[in-house]
Amino acid sequence: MPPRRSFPPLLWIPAGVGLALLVLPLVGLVVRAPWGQLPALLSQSSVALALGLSIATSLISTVIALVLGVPLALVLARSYDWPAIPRRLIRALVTVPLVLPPVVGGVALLLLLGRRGLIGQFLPFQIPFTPAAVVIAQVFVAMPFLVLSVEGALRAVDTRYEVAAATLGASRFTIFRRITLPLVAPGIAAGALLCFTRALGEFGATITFAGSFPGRTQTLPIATYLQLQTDPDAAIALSLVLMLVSVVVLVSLRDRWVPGVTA
Amino acid sequence: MKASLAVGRGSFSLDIELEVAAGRTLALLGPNGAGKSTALAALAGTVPSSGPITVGDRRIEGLPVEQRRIGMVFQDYLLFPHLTVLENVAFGPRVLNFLNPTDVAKTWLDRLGILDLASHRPPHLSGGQQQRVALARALATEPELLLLDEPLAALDVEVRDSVRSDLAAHLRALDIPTIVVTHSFEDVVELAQDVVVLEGGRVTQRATVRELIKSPATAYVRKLVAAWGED
Repeated sequence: MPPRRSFPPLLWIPAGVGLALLVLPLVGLVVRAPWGQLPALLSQSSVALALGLSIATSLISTVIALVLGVPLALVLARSYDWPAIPRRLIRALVTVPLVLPPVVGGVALLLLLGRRGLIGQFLPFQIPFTPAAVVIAQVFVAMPFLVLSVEGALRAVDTRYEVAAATLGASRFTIFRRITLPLVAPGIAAGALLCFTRALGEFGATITFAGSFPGRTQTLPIATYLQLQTDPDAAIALSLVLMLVSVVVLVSLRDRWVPGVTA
Repeated sequence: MKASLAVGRGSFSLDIELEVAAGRTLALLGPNGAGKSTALAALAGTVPSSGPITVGDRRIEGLPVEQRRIGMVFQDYLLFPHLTVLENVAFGPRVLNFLNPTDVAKTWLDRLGILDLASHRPPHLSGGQQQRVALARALATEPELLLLDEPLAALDVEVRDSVRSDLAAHLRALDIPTIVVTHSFEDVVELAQDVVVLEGGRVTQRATVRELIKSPATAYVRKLVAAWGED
């Protein structure tokens, strides 16, 4: 039996306060929720619109993040024999949206794709303040979660399986499709789930780059924030929906994030 | 099969000439770090080497791994864990566009006596079973050369003897050249007809198995033969 590890009893106090700080707001949300009126609140047309828009854009963002992010993760995972500078630079660039305040991301997207932006000035159509802008903002903020999750899975895969497949006559693309991808499928699924959740909760970059037009760019978090000013009960109902999604994701990823919970 | 391999990796260098006739098995014998597995990797094309490699009437040294048509059984078999035994064996025939890859795979599983394992996943198989699947997977691509890297090293000692005689029977039935890398003299005696002894990246003896037993050329081989004689 391993020796029992102890810690100074005084540390219970900050640890307890820390835990309370994380949990109590959610308890408040659940306690204050207008449970009786919930079906009526959630069936309001504005709520249904925001919910529908959020789910649709988050799903599209997740698909785009998968198409672009899995190859990017592969480049990162297999860059170990590159010179240090480009290798570290790409990794840093992928990580930037994780640490950047989302509102800054929104401003940056405006400066790139806005009407007078670096690329936007050459485009024959407008991107900002459209549903496409919502998707781009979500991909910008959420894709790094997918890339880092898939990269971790790729690094854990024994690359000798790929050598074995090559000796059997498989081309590089066949190996990627039939060996590498299936072996990292759990990592891809976890990354996609994280990406979807982050996209669903996206606020700062979206409101800056896409605005808040009901039915077009007003996503669930933005609608929640705006409802809080006029109809707090509706805001609580919307918050519960977002919280429910988070709980489902946490339960789905419990083995990955919280080892030992199911042991 | 005829090959002249020169490999340089950091401070290690390997220089070896190999020749194996169709239907014969050559054992590449040597201590750990002698360069045996590197020689196999160079033949398979996973490690760059210089010098000509001729298999049948084809020169393959300039070809990528997937075009060399070399069957390889790895030390820990490397069966694809997400595929069934049948899918593992059908993988090669499928990517090489053989007609009826599943039937080809079933034929090999049947030939190796493991057709009943077709729907199993590799992690659920014993070491001996995995080895047979790995052999079936390599042979199903109709390779022109078969390479086995320490094929018995991953097995428990109790089953090693029976799996070895089983493997020897299968190798005798093949009509392609085979190279077995091993550091076990039991493997040499039972599986091969010819031996190349590799020490420190250089060939120290080249002989038939009988000649090797009769007149070992180095202290390393003398020790192996003596230990084998005592068993």
